[in-house]
Amino acid sequence: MKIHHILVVGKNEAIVALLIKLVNKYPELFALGTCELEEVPSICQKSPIDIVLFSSGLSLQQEKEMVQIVSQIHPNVKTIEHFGGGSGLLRTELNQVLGLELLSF
Amino acid sequence: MTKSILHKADSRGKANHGWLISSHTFSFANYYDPSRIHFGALRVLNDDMVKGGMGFGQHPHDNMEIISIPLEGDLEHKDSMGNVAVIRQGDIQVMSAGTGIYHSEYNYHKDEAVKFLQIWVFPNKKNVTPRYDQITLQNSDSVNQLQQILSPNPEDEGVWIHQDAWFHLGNFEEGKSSHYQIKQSGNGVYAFVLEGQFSIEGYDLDRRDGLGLWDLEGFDLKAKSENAKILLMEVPMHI
Repeated sequence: MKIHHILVVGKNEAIVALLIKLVNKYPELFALGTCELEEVPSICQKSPIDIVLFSSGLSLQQEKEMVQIVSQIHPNVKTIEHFGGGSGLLRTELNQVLGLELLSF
Repeated sequence: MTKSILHKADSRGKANHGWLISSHTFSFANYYDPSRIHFGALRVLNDDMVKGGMGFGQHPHDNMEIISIPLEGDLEHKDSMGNVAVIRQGDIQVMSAGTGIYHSEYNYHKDEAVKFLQIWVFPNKKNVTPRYDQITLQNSDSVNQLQQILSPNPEDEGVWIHQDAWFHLGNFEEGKSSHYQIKQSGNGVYAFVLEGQFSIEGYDLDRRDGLGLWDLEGFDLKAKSENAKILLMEVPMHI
């Protein structure tokens, strides 16, 4: 089973932590995250990243810069613009980007 | 030419957690249907029943306009901005989650269920300062007519949200009709039947059916039963 690596980036520490916890409930996924944008390059050097999941607090410009930084190291990276800050929409957003019909806890 | 999509009540996603029974018009939590993700900016339409004394513990939200409408019973709300409130049947509550908010929602009563709609609309601006509001609607304003309960304008009737959206409620006697005029060109309307039966654009709608209409300037609706109640949600179709 391929494990998809998800990098959660956002400014709200509690919501980023919750999203990491929720993503990691799926056996097909592994999440890590940060609220510090300057940490993104070093995280990308150390870990494969398949998807960047943007939580709240970043400007559109900051999101673009993050995508540029990550795709220099991981050219096939995909992005998710997460809305809602929790479990309600997360599974659908992941399914849509991953092209999966089902993710199961 | 008007475009439409019909969602019959029994086609909605179902979740039964014992204390919570929910019907999801659009994909939500463990219900996933790639053909039913959203209707324009309308992302969530959950029809919830929470048993007495039960509820949602504290949990976060961000970047979403969240509207709650109690249909039967009362909800108790607490949030990280210090708001503590009881939302009763006839009220409407709105939260702009923006940069992040924590809240809890419990059935205010120990011995009777609360039934309510929870509606999420994508905001037209991200990372706004979180805000909360609730108002009590005048029921007489929706008798045999459409009553505006939400708009994008703080000075306008009803609550307001960060989106070019307008919601209306109507409570009609059998045979009564009304016309709805689109407020903003390009918007669509999602009609959700709360009680009774309606006829809209050639569709016969039953209780909890949903009908999405777009590429139109307006439409007529007619009540086909007594005490027919409907919620119209006009939202941008492009997000």
